[in-house]
Amino acid sequence: MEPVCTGRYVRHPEDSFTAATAFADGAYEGLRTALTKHTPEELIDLVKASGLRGRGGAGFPTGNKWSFVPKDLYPRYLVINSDEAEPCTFKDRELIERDPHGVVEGLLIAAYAIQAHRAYIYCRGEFSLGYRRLTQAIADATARNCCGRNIMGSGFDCEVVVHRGAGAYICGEETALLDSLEGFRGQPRLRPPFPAVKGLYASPTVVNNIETVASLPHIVSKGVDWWRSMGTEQSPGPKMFSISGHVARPANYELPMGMQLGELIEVAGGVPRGREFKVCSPGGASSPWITNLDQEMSFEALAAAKTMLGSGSVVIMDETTCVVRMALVITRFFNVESCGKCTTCREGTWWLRKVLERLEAGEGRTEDVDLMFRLCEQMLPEAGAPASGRSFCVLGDSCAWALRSALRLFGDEFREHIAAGACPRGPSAIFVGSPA
Amino acid sequence: MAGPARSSLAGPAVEILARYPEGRQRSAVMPLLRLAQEQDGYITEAAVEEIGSIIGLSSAEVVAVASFYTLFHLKPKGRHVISVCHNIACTMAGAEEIIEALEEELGIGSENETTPDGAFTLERAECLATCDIAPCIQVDHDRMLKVTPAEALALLEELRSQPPREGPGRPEAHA
Repeated sequence: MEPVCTGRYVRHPEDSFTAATAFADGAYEGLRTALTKHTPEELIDLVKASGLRGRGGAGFPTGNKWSFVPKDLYPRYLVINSDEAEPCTFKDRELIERDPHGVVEGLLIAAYAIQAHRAYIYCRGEFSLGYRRLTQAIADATARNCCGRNIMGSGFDCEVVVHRGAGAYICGEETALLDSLEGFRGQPRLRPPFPAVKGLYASPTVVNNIETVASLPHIVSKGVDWWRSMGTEQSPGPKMFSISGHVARPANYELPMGMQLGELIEVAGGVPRGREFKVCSPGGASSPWITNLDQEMSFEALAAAKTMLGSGSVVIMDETTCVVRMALVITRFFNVESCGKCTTCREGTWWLRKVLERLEAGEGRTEDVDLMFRLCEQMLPEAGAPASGRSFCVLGDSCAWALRSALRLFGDEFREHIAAGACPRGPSAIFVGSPA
Repeated sequence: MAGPARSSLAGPAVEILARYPEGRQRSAVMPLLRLAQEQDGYITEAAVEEIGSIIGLSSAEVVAVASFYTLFHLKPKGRHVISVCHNIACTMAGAEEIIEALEEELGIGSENETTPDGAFTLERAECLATCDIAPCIQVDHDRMLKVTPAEALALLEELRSQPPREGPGRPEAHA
């Protein structure tokens, strides 16, 4: 497959981020096509027809999201979620650092489609280099009349502002992000109203992910049939997979959706040191783990397997991995990042972490596996209930999803840990040195 | 409040406020907090008051925001802040061994502790989105990737041998 979102830096690995290289490489030609050949309505229909699904985690169809903006209600805002903080996801960071012009071009296409005259990029606070590259790209694009007022003489205006976060995973949740952008503590809002109706400053707002908007110039330039020639019927197109952990070449790989897990591992160089594959977290720390190498990696197939593609971060763990330690690392993360707004998440993640720390310290109790399982079940929705659990937002659910799957798959390993009062694999079981 | 003389935020605030629509100046609170911290090294009481008066918030409201975000510091930090990622990929690649080596060398814990001489703050970070080149350390604003414990210790030596910067701040490079 020809690289798409990653194409510019595959072609120009040294200086893909500079205006000179990006413009020589055809940057903003997709935007030109959008502005000169399509009405906003046509663009929404085009993106609907492409089947593009949001790359931030939820996989919601982008064109549909755009079409929810109420008619005749202005001002409208476009907010780009560049707060990438899902553990082991590193694709958006790479895109803003290496192809900031592709990102700016894509977000301007989205802004034109929804007729937003101001766009905010909410950029994760830790992304120092990415922030500098984005602001430089916006300045360079503005100087060349590809951003700002009367873009390319089309009469369309859009001012783009980068707003920096300051260290809070919860701000990746779109309503928490909006509260943060408005100058509050970043805590999620009750929905409805949804952001499309009442988002930033209580105005209609579309929140799109970096990789999602980076896909747009290509869809506009090369068309729906080309986009749909890759991937699956329900997950068309290429996707950036952040593959990390126990693979020989951890990196971002842009691949058609629908490949098998085992094929992804091979693309990343296989499991090194002749070791056996054990388990995979297929879509971010939130996703329930999987062990079957023939698992199809698409939104629909992973949902059918009761897990998710999420942000496309694939963590491979080999046979030496201690699942108790991994479960603790993941649970600790959600506990640290719980925003404290609702009891279920704030207390639930804290108790799960306490029990796991007890296991790690060799003080686990025989009943702890059942205890943790019950706690997870209490945080999650009742059988047959709608998707969301008992937490205010999905953060609490995420913690319980991941841990419950580890307990289901490796309950015996947790019990061995408890019985031995230590990791049966030895104190350094997880430390295999760097994977390469 | 007594403290070192600090430069006013009022000048740069004009440009920052212009990024947000009329009447939405509250959105400027995070950029102003970041600016104050770059100048002073942490967010001082004087900065809280000044930010409050620029955007029409009480000091309590400004502190409520500042205290929510891990990158804002309401107390002084060491001259260099070393954050070691201890999330999934970095743990798998040996982050705890790096943390142990740094804790031992510095004689402090890794839960946001500062050496008595004020030179270093050691903290644990959640995923810094560089899992392809794990383990990752963030030193002030720069990333160090695929770090070994020995390299982490060598980094301390390098930072110790650097001449102290002018002023208390920790400004980012502006490329």
